[in-house]
Amino acid sequence: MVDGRHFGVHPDENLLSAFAENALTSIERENVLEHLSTCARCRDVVFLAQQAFLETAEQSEVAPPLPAKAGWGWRWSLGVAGVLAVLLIAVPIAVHRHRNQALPGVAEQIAAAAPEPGPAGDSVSSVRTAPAEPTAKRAVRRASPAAAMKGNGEIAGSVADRSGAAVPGAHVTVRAASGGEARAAVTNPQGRFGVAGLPSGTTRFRYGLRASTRSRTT
Amino acid sequence: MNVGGRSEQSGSESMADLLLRLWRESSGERFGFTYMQFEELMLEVAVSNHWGRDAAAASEAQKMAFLASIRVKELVLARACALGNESAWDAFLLEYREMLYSAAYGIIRQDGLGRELADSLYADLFGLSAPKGYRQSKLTSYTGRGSLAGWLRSVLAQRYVDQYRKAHRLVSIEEQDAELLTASPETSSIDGDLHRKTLADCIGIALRQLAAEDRFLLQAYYLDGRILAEIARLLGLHESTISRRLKRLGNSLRKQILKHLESSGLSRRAAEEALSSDVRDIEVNVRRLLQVAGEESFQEVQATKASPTGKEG
Repeated sequence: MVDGRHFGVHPDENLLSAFAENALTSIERENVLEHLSTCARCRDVVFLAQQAFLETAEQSEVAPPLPAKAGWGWRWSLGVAGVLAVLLIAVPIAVHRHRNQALPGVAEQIAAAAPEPGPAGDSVSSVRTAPAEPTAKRAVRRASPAAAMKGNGEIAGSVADRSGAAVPGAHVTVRAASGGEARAAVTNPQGRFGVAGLPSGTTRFRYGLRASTRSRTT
Repeated sequence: MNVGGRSEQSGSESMADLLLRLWRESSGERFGFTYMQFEELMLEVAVSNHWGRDAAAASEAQKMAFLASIRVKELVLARACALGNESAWDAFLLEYREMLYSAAYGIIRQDGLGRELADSLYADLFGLSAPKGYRQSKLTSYTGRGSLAGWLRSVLAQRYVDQYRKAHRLVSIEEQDAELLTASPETSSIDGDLHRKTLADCIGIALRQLAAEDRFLLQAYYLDGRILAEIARLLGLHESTISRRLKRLGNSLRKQILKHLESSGLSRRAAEEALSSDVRDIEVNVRRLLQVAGEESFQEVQATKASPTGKEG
């Protein structure tokens, strides 16, 4: 143990879940990692909880999808032309920020705040968002820098191609629009991904397969 | 008890201002909380967590950062539920009921068992399974360090893992005995035993010198059989970063072990032979050296059951 503090037998659920959400102080994180490096039981717990997170992310999609032609008002640059055809990916993304409470109609507000629909072809077919609070951004700005940087938000979703088929192995990078450390994820065989430990507020996504990425802000 | 004295200033916001702001954010009044109760609750969480570090060494700013990181809204909701507040329960069920069942299914992947797991947790959340005459909701132990949803998922996962490990221990002692008998080396020589012991010592030294996160990576990938994407997601890193780190770790470990073998008296060639001659032995040693009580993860047990060959370190 780094600072001489001990967990007893195992760290409790609070520490394990906060570890997975990157919500611990550096000392606590180091202590939990130290424990995880020797305890198969706790490693199983954190990995299974993560698996459950991906499952619940699927269930937390509450808003109806946007019309099929809806999209985002910019074209994304493509890294490698040869991969273009493969990379026309539609991304239904479920966002749930647990710091926030569900408010009726918030999902619609966020959908309405999205950029104007662009031409069909490079579009995102649907955006589904779960609980979010309009004041979340302001609250973070007023919080202490440490708290704002720490971040307790979670984002999860799935990547699917235009036919609706899951895209496993897609790389998703999430970064707060205000900057800070990027968090990365790769979609699982069901095309799902989850990222925890994000600050509340506007978040920027980058996603795609190996050679090329696209980005959007939500 | 007074957490937030006006005199304790840090930056532009004092501790008292911070607590007042957090109190407003918590919507505590909605569930019948008073500010005093809220303040006590925050202090309880802070003290039980040593303010997120060594309590004596925490500065005022660090204490305030710790308090600001607590998810007050969810903490108050959980405590209000534990106190039996009906509107809190309504809010909790509305927000978390479906999630809980989905999470249980996500862990077990079987409808019936998933529902059973979620139901058993519900009983504890309501405080129904407490000893006679003393009802305490499991929600009392939530401290707001992470999200309430994350905490619920961790509790579910913990229960399932403990149940699984208990059942596995109960049924597999005979199997393990049989495995031990068949795993005994058929032939043994003094030189071979000496080399194995030297190798184990050197691996032990090299592993102990690694950072905790590196040891975690090795354990999760090589011994538990977790895939890169799972590890990357948990640590919030890119999959390719994990892959590169594992490769780098492997190379560095090999160099370190060779160095230790040479310093224990082996020639370079003998050291390389000792390291490459029996990869299976190295894996067994690594498991013993890294893991407490030689416990296997059930991910690993399941993988072994599914396929007799696994990853080798």
